[in-house]
Amino acid sequence: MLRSHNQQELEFDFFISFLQHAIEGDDEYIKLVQPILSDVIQVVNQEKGISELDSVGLNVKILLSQKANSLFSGLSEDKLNRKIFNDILNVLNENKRHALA
Amino acid sequence: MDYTSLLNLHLSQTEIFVEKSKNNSYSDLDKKNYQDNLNKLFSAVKGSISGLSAVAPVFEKQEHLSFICNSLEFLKDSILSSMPFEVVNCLNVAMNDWIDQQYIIVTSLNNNTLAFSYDPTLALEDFVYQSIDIQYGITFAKRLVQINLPLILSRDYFSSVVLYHELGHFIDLKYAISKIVAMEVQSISSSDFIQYEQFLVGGQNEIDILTDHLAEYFCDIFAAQYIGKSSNYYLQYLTRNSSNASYSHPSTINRVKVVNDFIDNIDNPIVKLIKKITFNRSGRHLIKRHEDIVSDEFYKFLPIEIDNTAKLHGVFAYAWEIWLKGPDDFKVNAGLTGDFTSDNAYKVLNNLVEKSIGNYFIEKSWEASLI
Amino acid sequence: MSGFISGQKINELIADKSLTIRPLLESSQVTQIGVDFRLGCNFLVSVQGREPFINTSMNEDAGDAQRDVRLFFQETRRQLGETFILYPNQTVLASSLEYVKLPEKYMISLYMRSSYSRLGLTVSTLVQPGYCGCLSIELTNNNNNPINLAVGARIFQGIFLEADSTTTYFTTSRKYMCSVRPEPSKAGDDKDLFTLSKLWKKNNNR
Repeated sequence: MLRSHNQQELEFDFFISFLQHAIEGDDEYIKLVQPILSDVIQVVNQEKGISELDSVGLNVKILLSQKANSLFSGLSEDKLNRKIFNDILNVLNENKRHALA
Repeated sequence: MDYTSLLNLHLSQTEIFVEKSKNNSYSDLDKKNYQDNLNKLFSAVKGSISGLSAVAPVFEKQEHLSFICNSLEFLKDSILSSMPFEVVNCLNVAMNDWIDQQYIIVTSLNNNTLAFSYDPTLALEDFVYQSIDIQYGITFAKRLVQINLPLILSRDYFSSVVLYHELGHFIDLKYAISKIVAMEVQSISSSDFIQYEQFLVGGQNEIDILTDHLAEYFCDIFAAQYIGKSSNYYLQYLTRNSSNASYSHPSTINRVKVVNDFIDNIDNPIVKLIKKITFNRSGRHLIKRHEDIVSDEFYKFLPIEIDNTAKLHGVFAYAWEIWLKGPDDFKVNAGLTGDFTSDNAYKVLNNLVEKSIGNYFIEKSWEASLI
Repeated sequence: MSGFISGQKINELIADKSLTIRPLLESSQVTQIGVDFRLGCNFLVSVQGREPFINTSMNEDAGDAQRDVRLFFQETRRQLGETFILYPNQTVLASSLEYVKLPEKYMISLYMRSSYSRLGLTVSTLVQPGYCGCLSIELTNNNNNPINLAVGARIFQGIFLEADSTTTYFTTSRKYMCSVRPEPSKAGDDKDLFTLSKLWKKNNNR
């Protein structure tokens, strides 16, 4: 098959794209990434287990909770800003290949 | 690289698809609405792509176009002139046991005789829908559950049992069951893992292999709820009852054992774990949802009278049991004196399954219309 | 052959299970003179394909082989309540919504219901004693206008006739056993065509 994007890869690519819009300050996209990141914050801060997460963006949530632990540790949802979005984007770009291997 | 030219090529290709599909006529209003939405989406994408060059926006537009083509491929084959609606209606009943949100099962008919598969793109890629909503304000009230099946076997109710397994992939991904089971298996100690070792021969460490194998076990159990052990027969034949696991699938021997243990209520650690996580994630139990039909109606060349969904799903296993006994047994039970070949049995059984299922839905919709 | 069987007798046959009609959506389908049958979900529409004609002969002067009759038909399906348009002079093979198993002493003669024959629709079929399956009908529209038919509508009726002795349906091989969708003609399977072709070859020094 010429096109070999799998569903997991598509999920990462979309989330990366959403983050890029959010970094540019697009409020609509900020509203989209927030619930995903909020789940990651709760997992990292042990307020929620991975098995309690809903399946929307689950692969992204799992990756971030494993690879960006220090970034999310102690973070609260209202502290999410452009710089943090940028850091998350870097983590995703660095680890996406590993996650999809 | 500037992708503008390639995006425009993709746009032109999609336009061919959209233009052709404008002639599709759907009696199902849900499908018609979906198609109307796709037309709106295409116009919106077309009106928004001039001058794009950054990778991120191009990627999203590209995926929107792929979404349109992918949807149309399945809608095209779901017009009633070709759709095997008896089996699709059965799958709908099974799907409604498991989800509250509304989905439309659509089929794509392929030339490959083994082309039974599930494509998760349109049902579960939430980000695609979010992206379309944000960029154009277009929302899809219902999503498509895409199931591929071989065109030539669209009236073969013996192989249709495989479609319950494929529906299982949708349910699995919807609730991320195998993914969570795999993570749980990864997190246990190696001494605790010993109980699963027989079934998860790839070990604890490879999450992708673990997830894939657990997904197959889940789908086998999911299907067995409705069709009992029927899919085992086909699987054992196709793989010659292989004892080898691949990267993506457990061995047939293990798959058959998992199904048998589930149906026969035999204690099995993998079945137990999958049942537990399935309930945690979906709020639904993996239980037997079909009736073991005891009847001589097929031997009398009569369709079964079905009055509940457990019996509806049970028809597949009932036909399989008769088929496995062979044409001579059929002939004796039917009291026939003339020739009755295996091919006669194949045609008669398929016809009777089709009419048994068809009559159930005809009577149900007739009664509903009288209220 | 004796006269037709009344509705009362048909109901008795249904009650003692020697006659099966599934589904019988309304008991009123059993009328005083027979049974009203409904239009089923499956159709084979006659189409013009690449083949010049339907060959029911095995003689070689008409071509080297009989082509499958299915090449001259296209299958289409509808669900209950949907409609099917029958065009003028078009032949369509359809079937009854009901699956029928006849007793071995009764045959059915099928006719359009009066309301539909007045539209110019014709049908002419006999159903053998002991037959089981949906009833196949060959619908032709003799009207100058297309007619839109509702799937599930009572469009034709069966008049039951009693034979003077019991017949046995399954002692010989059956072409259309337990059919639930219309099937194209299997005229080419008739064994006497082979005999006739042999005769033709002999007479023509072939």
